[in-house]
Amino acid sequence: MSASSIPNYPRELLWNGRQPDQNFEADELLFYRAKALDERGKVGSVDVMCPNTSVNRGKYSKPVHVLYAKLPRFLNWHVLEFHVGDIPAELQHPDGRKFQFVVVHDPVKPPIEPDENYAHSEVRALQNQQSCKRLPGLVDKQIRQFLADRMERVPAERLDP
Amino acid sequence: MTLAAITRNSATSTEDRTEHRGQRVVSAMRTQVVTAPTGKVCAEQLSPIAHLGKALGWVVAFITASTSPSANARASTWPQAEAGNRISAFAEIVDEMTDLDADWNGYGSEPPNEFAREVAKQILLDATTVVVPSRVTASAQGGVGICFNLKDKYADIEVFNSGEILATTSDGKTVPAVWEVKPSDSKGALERIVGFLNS
Repeated sequence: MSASSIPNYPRELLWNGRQPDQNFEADELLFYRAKALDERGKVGSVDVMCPNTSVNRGKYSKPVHVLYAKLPRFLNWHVLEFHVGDIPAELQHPDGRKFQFVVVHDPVKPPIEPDENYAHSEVRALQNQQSCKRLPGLVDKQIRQFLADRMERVPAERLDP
Repeated sequence: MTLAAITRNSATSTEDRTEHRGQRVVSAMRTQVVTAPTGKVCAEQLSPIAHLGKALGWVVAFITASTSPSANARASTWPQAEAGNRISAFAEIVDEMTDLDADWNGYGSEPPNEFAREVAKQILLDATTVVVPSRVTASAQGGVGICFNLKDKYADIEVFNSGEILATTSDGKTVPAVWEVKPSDSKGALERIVGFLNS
């Protein structure tokens, strides 16, 4: 990719003195990137990382901005979207343990990330109201497939910067 | 997701298992691939002799698959010759995953380690006589994903760097079924996936 084809980093992704906003509406879109899609034009659980699934929230970014992480590495990847309301509130392990899932607005900036990203959010897992960094395998697999099923490809005409 | 929904899904999973037992009875007509490597995959198997044995296994598995009476039951529509080539190409893709960088997707995912790659290739070898995957990819969770889809149905077997192997089937509408796969029973998982895709 030539230097001239690398887009400028979007100003709307800068913090500009803003604080995190934990108000999410169920119909707000969340954006995720994937290297490849299958024959259905979708992804599977193997393409989704969870918990702490990194997404950009639609309230503060355009779909294409999720490709601007570590510019220009991901500019030719695909953008997928799903709604906040698609995230299952709770899944239960066969042994009875229950895990809850929430989306959290988690803006990032250097040195954690090379660039500021005010739109960055994460789908996080909780157990007994405590954050879970790792889930039991079966629950982990199920939430990832659940999210993958609801992710839809953002068409090219909606990927203008 | 309500608890009721999860309970309902558990019932569905049980039904699936019953259905797949039936599928396994039908597929018992398959010819056994005697040269296919079995058991735990480990670094010692990477010797030239092991490679030769694996290559022979691919050839015999492919020829056996071509004459198998259960070939028509496969979910894939690939002709046999193309199916063998396709699975072989997937094995090469797995080998090329050694080139992936740490954080290859910008989400902090680890590239597949040697264990995951070797087990994935073993499952691909098993798949030769059962079902042709639609896609093989590095897993965002660290490992290798072997994916299958037919129309709106999706399934995969995911081999994690940790050594765990999990599979899922999903119709995209209801809660996905997930289960643990033992390395010695990857064919059972593949047959369950075929049953799901064909249902």
